Amino acid sequence: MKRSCSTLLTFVFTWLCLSAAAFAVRVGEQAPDFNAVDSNGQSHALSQYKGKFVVLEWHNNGCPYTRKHYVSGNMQNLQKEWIAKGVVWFTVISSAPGAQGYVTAAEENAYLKQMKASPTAALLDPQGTLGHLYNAKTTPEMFIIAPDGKLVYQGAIDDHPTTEADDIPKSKNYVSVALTEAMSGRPVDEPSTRSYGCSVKYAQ
Amino acid sequence: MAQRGRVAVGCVLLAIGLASEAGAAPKQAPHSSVELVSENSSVAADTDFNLGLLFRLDPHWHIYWVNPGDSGEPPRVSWQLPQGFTADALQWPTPKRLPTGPLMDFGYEQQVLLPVRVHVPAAFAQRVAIHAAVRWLVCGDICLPAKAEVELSLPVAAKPGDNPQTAPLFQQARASLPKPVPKAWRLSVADSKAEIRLLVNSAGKLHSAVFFPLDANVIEDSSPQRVQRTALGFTVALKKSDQFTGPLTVLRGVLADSESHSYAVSVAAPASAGRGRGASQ
Repeated sequence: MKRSCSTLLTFVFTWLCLSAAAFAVRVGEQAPDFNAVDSNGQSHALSQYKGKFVVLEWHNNGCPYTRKHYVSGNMQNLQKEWIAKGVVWFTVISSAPGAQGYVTAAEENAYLKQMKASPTAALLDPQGTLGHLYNAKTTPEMFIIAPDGKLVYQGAIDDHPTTEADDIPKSKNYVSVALTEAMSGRPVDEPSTRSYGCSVKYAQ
Repeated sequence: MAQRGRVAVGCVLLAIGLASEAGAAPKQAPHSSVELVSENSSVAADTDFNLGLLFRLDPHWHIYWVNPGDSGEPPRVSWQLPQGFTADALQWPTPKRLPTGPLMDFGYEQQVLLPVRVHVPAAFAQRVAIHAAVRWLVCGDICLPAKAEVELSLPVAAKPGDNPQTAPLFQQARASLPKPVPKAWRLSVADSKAEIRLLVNSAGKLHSAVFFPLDANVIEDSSPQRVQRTALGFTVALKKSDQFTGPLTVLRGVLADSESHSYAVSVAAPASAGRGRGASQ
């Protein structure tokens, strides 16, 4: 009797959580608050960055689409450029243990050093909590949250959904365009695009 | 030394010659291969014919449909055709749903032929040499980019010749291409806050189907589709994508009752008051 009660409660709780996630995130609405731990053991809540632009970059270091932007140095340049302008940039890794892209904190720090990448922090999300909260589907997938907490961009990093680094110079970078527009007080012209990449390797 | 050299060159030339005659050998790539095949063994002036990209995949690996779903990328081809020839876009047989964890992709496993219609001019050279650069993404648990150059050489004849080797492949592909909705059918969509309902009056001919969207970010690809049988057909409830920015103007996609039978649908949403935005795309 006792066991089926707690099973029922677990079921209801899970269902409620999943239902909440199903209404996850919409451009123009408040981005959901989160709490996540980075590769240095520090925790970050979205709410502590109110007043700043926040970029969430979903990441899998083995995915050819992610590698397109890292081996070329494109992502690192974007991080540097926008952090210098006051943006908070989080790399998020939602790969489950054993899946491609999963990294321990030490491995992620070694990767960041090797790739000369300097995001504000790399958030480790092996349970997929943050990924499911934002309904992140691909690596890369980009989210931009404005200083007032509203989601102003969700989607692809750029307009060439390929694995070829040669496409980068001729691509429109949606993140840079959106940040430029939002920072100058203009509405983001293309707030929602189809992201491209490998599927996020969530825990089952 | 010179003699051996000449023999070597001769062998190479013979090999090239044979390769051109045979046309396409499958080009290997990670966990997959691609081959350029022709429905006909010869080409006739002013007579369209079909080529195809034949993909073979290792077990548990797949490639993607024109709309790959939540992730992935469909194959792309860039043609080098003789003067005056043109090729239409790739045609896409009915895909399969490919769950990947909690996400959903659309594509093909094992083997798939993507047909292409080629338009032939009135006058051209003796032999038709076709070249294509193909790029695709092949995925299992992980994804690998793949590319290959394929070629095919075909002789000219008064009428396009039969090709019994490839005939079953093209027949199967054609059977699996989405067909136009029969004239007697009536389709409509109802757009509500959280979902899109597709109503199909199939004059009693079809009571269930799976919907594959052509456009991204309209429906949530991974949501189960609720099918309800009606007297004359069925309805499908499709949860909207959280990236859907409405209003819905047209719902485009493929309705599949099995892998072999599917219909191409393009259903205009009811025009909202004050917005006469006319014809569906």
